[in-house]
Amino acid sequence: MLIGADSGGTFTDVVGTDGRILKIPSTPADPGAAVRDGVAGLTGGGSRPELLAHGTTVATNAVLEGRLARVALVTTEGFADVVEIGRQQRPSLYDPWHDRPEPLVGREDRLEVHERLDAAGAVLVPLGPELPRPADGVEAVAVCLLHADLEPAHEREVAARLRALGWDVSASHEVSPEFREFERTVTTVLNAALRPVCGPYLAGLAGEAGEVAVMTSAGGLVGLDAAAASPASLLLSGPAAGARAAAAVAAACGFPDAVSFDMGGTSTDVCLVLDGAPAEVAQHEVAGRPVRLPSVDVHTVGAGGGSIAHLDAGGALVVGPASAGAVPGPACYGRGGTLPTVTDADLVAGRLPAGVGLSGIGALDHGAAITALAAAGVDAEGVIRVVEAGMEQAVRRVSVERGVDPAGLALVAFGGAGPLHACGLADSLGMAAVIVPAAAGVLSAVGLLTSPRRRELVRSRARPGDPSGLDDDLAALAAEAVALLPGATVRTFVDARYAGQSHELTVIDPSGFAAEHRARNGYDRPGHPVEVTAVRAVATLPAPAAIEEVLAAWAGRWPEPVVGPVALVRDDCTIWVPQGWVGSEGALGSLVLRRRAEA
Amino acid sequence: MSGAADLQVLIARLTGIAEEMGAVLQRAAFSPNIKERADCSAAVFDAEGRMLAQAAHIPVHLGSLPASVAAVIARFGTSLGPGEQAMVNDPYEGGTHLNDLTLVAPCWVDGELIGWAANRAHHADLGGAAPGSLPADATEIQQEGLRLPPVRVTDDTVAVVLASSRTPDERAGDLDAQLGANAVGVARLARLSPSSFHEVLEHGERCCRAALDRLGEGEWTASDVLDSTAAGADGSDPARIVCTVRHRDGRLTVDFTGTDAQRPGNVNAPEAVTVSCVSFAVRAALDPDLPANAGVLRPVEVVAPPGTLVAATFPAAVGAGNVEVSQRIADVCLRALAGAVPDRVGAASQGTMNNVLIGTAHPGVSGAAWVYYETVGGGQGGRPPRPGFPGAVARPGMSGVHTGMTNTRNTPVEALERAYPMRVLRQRLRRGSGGAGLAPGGEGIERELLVLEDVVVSLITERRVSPPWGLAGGGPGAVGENWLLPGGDEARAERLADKCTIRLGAGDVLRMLTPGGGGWGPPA
Repeated sequence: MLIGADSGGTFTDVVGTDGRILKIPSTPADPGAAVRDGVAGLTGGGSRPELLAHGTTVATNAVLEGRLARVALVTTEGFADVVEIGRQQRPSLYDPWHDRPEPLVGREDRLEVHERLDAAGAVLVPLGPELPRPADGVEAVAVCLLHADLEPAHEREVAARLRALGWDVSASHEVSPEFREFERTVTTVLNAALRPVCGPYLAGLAGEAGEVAVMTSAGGLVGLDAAAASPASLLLSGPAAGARAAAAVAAACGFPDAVSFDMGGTSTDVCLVLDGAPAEVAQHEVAGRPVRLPSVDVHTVGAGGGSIAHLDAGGALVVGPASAGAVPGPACYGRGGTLPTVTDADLVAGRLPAGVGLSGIGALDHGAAITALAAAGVDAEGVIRVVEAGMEQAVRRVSVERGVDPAGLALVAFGGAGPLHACGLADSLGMAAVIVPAAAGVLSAVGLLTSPRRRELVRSRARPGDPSGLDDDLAALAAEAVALLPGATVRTFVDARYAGQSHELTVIDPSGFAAEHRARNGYDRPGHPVEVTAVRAVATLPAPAAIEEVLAAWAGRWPEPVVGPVALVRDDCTIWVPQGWVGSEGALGSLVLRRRAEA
Repeated sequence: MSGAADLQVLIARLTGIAEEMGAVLQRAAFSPNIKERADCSAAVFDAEGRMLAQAAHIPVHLGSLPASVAAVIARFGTSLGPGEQAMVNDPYEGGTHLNDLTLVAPCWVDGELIGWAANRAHHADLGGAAPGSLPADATEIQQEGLRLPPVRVTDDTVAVVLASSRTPDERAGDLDAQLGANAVGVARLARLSPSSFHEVLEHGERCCRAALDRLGEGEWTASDVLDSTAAGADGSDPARIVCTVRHRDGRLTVDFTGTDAQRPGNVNAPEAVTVSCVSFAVRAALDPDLPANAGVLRPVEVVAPPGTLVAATFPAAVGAGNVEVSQRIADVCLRALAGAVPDRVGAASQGTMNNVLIGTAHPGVSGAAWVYYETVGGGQGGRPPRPGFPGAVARPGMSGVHTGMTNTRNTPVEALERAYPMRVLRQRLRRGSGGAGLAPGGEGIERELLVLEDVVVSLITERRVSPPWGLAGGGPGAVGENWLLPGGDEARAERLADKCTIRLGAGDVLRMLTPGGGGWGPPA
């Protein structure tokens, strides 16, 4: 058997290729315990599974909670403070107390080396013989020298000398060999700071299956060793798996272009799907810090079922950003919460049927929800419309950013609260259909089994304006990628821009750049020189399991017909089908909802 | 009873339109200044030109965009048809400084004008006496570049803009992005019902009144100086800005009477910039979450006597108004407000944007004309304990950060060196430059730039003479310093003025030390 295990804040979801699922309460102090329990639960203590595919929150939580190793940073002389100056922006225009994230490296741990390369990677100042000495108490070292993405010789030498002394070193040309020193530095430092945290955790899972694979932010499975070496690539592990599975379900239902909508208790993840795959980006943000590694382009909104509603000073009904969290939670949880949340509004509005119990919570307290809403002077329908208006902006944002109009796409709803709000959201955006996948409550765990094994490589080009040698660069990188993943299919891309621009578009080859620029930005510049700043390669091997196999057991579980208004209560989520909407079973055991006129 | 929800849904949609316009503008822009530094903003307006929502990336655009729409309405009335757009940059007819080109588009629905979409972007070069269109020695607006009153955007008028610029390719791409952003705004605004737009303004007004309740009634005055006004006989004398804040009968008056007369140099601000600074200071001191709409300013009156530094009249040069005078106006407003709400205002931040403009129209090694524009961060002032957070403690200012009226990103060293014939020799925090205090000021930045071909450099900087002030017993931050090292030779280092336009030869090094923030509270 193959098993997918996705660690979440509340539950660890476990799915087998036979379609069985388990929801195990997460064990934050030792997240591996819930994973091990889940594996044991599915195997019944019998033979070890052939494969465990894991989505982990260990790296993300370490960043969010500041549980990071102490890191020394080695930079080019004169540039020790890049990690603090950043892009010199403040996070809030008007709030003087809104600080930037703390620099990940203390001033005493920023070390400079005497060396310098020029903008083409040629040596201006040779690397000096002296080696900076990390202080006692430092657990890992990051090395990020200027222009090392073009010429890593100095970085390699510094890293080798430090490794010879026993230091755990992350070098920027290994972690994120792309230009723009602040982003590369932060990514490298995060990687260094996470290795001592993630390494032992991942090693502890090694015996759980014949093979253990880990989901990266880019939505691909890598082996335990690769994951432990590059934990900065795991920061969107769970959301990436969910987006990949959502994309597969949408495509199977006839919607290769869609938006995934994963609404949970405290936040909501939205991702554009094009041609059956989640959109990807070369850089994302975690807790206000840039991470320059490939990832699915998930946009997170700080609103979910637990978001608190109130009237602002001007009398408008505002939802969030404060959240009741799991404790005290929504008023209807009966755990002491008195402030009205989206979940309370869903209950009072009848979207969550009275008497329904939520897994792990039990029966909901209808009266407490009514009291909380009334005390705050807000009404249930109003709260719902406001939270959906916020989600509407998030969906528009991920699609408009890519020059795509969300009207006509499908909305793939999952997570505890997604299917409660999807139809309203789809209505306001003119979207064609709402798809609730089978196993919507454990979709990320399904995605772990059905995502490809994958590695990504990138190399900067020293002379972006010179097209000669581009084919050789691409072929060399492709060969490198295959060496990492023998037998893989490799696709190559280039980062291209018009000369004079400071931003790049990733396209298959430079000849397609003008068309992509026109599609994304509305114009192109015929005759203007095109530069290639970097080459990329993506190597993939097929997923461990086909999604048809994993979801086979879920066919035929929807009532027929589904006619709104009705709330469908399932084990893993509740679906609200409003007046005027009808649904029927679609591919892969999903429920496809449409407005009646179109059904 | 869903009025409160309907209102918020409308606010969310209007804000969403402005943000979507901003996203289109930033995504599609050609030049690094807009794309990478986000020196741009977008907003939607009702039919009378009252701002309904704005997506601002830098505060100096906050209150000044409405003046552009007002100027377009004054000139065109309803004669701009569906699909047409106007553009304007004239500081004396709706603009701020010439670099900021604002595009304004009407939104027609079934023959009725229901609103406007507008966006502004800082164009790196629109002609004038020095690359970057901010010549430090300008004495009249004509020297600063192309001056456009509100005109229709046509192939002909665009051709004039391109012909005026040292970098026409960038301009063409940026204008396409601006046109596209407004087109998106108009299309989306057309789907909303204008009959409720007034409720958004009334909400803004109520929010502002609630914020003003934090102020007792009274009158508070503060003054501060600009180091110099560059050109002219009195150009090297400090120039004074005086601000009196009066709160009476639910109205806030911000009165600049007593401010020095405008000067021959470019250190003069149009009134629209002054309104932006007042908006900024009110938010920073009273409520950072105030909505960005015209209703918010209804309880606020700005008195800016014409012909002064804060309400310049034709033909004054105004290049530094947006980028430097604005910082001092914000400082003075905040200092006056500190008298009213001492627990909500920190010490002075660096108080300058440290503008550096470098370029050449006569390329040497690089083979093409180029213009590089950068602003450099510095120290934030030390801060009192965060209001509303019991147990909070006074906090040092952030270091190497943009404060006040700007928030543009820096150009990464690696990106800069690969794009321009220049090399950054050093970019570090300026240790020890923050003012002493219970909460010390943040530190400035030390930056050395080597030029690899002959160029023209303009520096437009402040706080090189008068330091960022401490507050509540804290000490001042270190003043900034500008230096030229001919041929990179430390022994021949010469101090440069705070504002200057000079020629550099290949191998020369420009060294800039930016100011630290003031300290807050007596040092321990």
